[in-house]
Amino acid sequence: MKLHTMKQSTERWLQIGLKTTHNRIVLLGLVTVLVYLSFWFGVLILRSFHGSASGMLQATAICLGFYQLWKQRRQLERQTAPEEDQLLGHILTISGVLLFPVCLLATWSQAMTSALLMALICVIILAGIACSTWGAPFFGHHAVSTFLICLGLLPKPAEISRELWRSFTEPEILERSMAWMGSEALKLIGQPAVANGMMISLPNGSVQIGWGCNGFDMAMTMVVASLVLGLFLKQSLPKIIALMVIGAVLALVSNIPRIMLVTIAAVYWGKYWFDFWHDSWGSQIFVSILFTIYYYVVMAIVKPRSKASMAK
Amino acid sequence: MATTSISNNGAPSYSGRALCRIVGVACLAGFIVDMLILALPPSLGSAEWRTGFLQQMSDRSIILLFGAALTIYGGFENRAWRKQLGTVCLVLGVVFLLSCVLVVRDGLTLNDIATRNINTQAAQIQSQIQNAKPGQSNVPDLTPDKLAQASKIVTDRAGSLKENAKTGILKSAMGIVGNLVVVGLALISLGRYGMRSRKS
Repeated sequence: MKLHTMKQSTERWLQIGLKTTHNRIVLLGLVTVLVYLSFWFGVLILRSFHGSASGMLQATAICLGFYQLWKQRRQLERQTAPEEDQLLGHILTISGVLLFPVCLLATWSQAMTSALLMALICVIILAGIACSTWGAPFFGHHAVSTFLICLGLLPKPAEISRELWRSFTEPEILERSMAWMGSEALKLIGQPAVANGMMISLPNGSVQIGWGCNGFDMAMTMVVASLVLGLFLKQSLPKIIALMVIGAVLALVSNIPRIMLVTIAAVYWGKYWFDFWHDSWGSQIFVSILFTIYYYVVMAIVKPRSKASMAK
Repeated sequence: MATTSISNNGAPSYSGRALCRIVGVACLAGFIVDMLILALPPSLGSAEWRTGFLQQMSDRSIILLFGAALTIYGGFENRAWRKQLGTVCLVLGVVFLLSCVLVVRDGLTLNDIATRNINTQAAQIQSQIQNAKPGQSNVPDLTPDKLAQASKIVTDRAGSLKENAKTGILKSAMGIVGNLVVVGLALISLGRYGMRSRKS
């Protein structure tokens, strides 16, 4: 029975989809994106079985982006695209659909390249569909959804941001400065710590600051979270930038006590406590403290505006 | 070429539009000549040639943008002409955006090739070090310690070379993609503006 209704509704959708040229092009683009999305969600689920949470976060970002659009469907239904936007959208969609199999065949053997290119092409197709259906102002009005969907489609955003950071900064600058700041902070509480490159040395032993401990990932997470939060709360651009900078600085500053604690745990308390503070439990505690501070800072920045808008 | 014919058949007038038309057409013609010289002889199969060509194109693309804007402004009264030029700009903008995909792909391919070359060379040197048994070669004071040291130096050097190659390729790819995206979006906006039917 259910299968029958599903078949009926699919047929109805197909009929609508094949009615006009515009609908046919949109249908073609949607089918291509759906093929990619089903594959991509499969990869994300597989990845989450291996214990990575970023896959679930990305899937959530995509779903949240589409949900935001779905909530405003009444308004979107009334929006139409001018002629030039329709042409632009159709060109984008069709060229994306044509490029998709070409790229798939050309990069079949390299998984990472293939995923990156497919994601780019899907973004182009989706942009084309949106442009030809609702016009170019759509991207300005629905910036949050656009950003969330693009972010969710990007394969391995953490790795990409890491490579970008590494290629535009001196090697290990963040690790070295974190080691230096950590040792200075340890000196303040009376520990005879010495920073040497990426190492913090205490008389009884030393600790090397690796990539995972330099706070970069946390800072990037805070930047993206601030951007989404700022767009979601409809803040002005300077305020969003302020939120992003504060988030990144907070993440980096709160990394210093973590380094101090991990160093002391490694040198004085033994392996168990080092593992406790270095691995998931310690990180959870630090992240919860960080988010509590961040919450109050965000509220302090956001509040004056909302009071003013309520007074209106 | 259509651009020259339109600039000649306008009535002689001393307006700003005519000047814009001349400069715009000159910019466009200059860009096309540059691109032809760069593109010939084409070897579309090689990633190096494609990346080099796209880099040159993205560096010069601001001239194309400038020329297109001036030409559209110069021929603003002629609605059919404006619309045609707008369509061309729109298509060119989309081509610019799509070629970013190609740049990303070629960048990753070139990085793979560079890494493989460094790995092969490092492996060759490592095998030479392995083969040089102490006492056998004509160097008298060759000790296992020195061999291990040499092996470590080769490994470190290969690692830093790979990192450098990756950084260089990523940087130039980012530069090309940035230019292409900016000029592509600008061309698309220009095309939309030119194609818009004049209601206001």
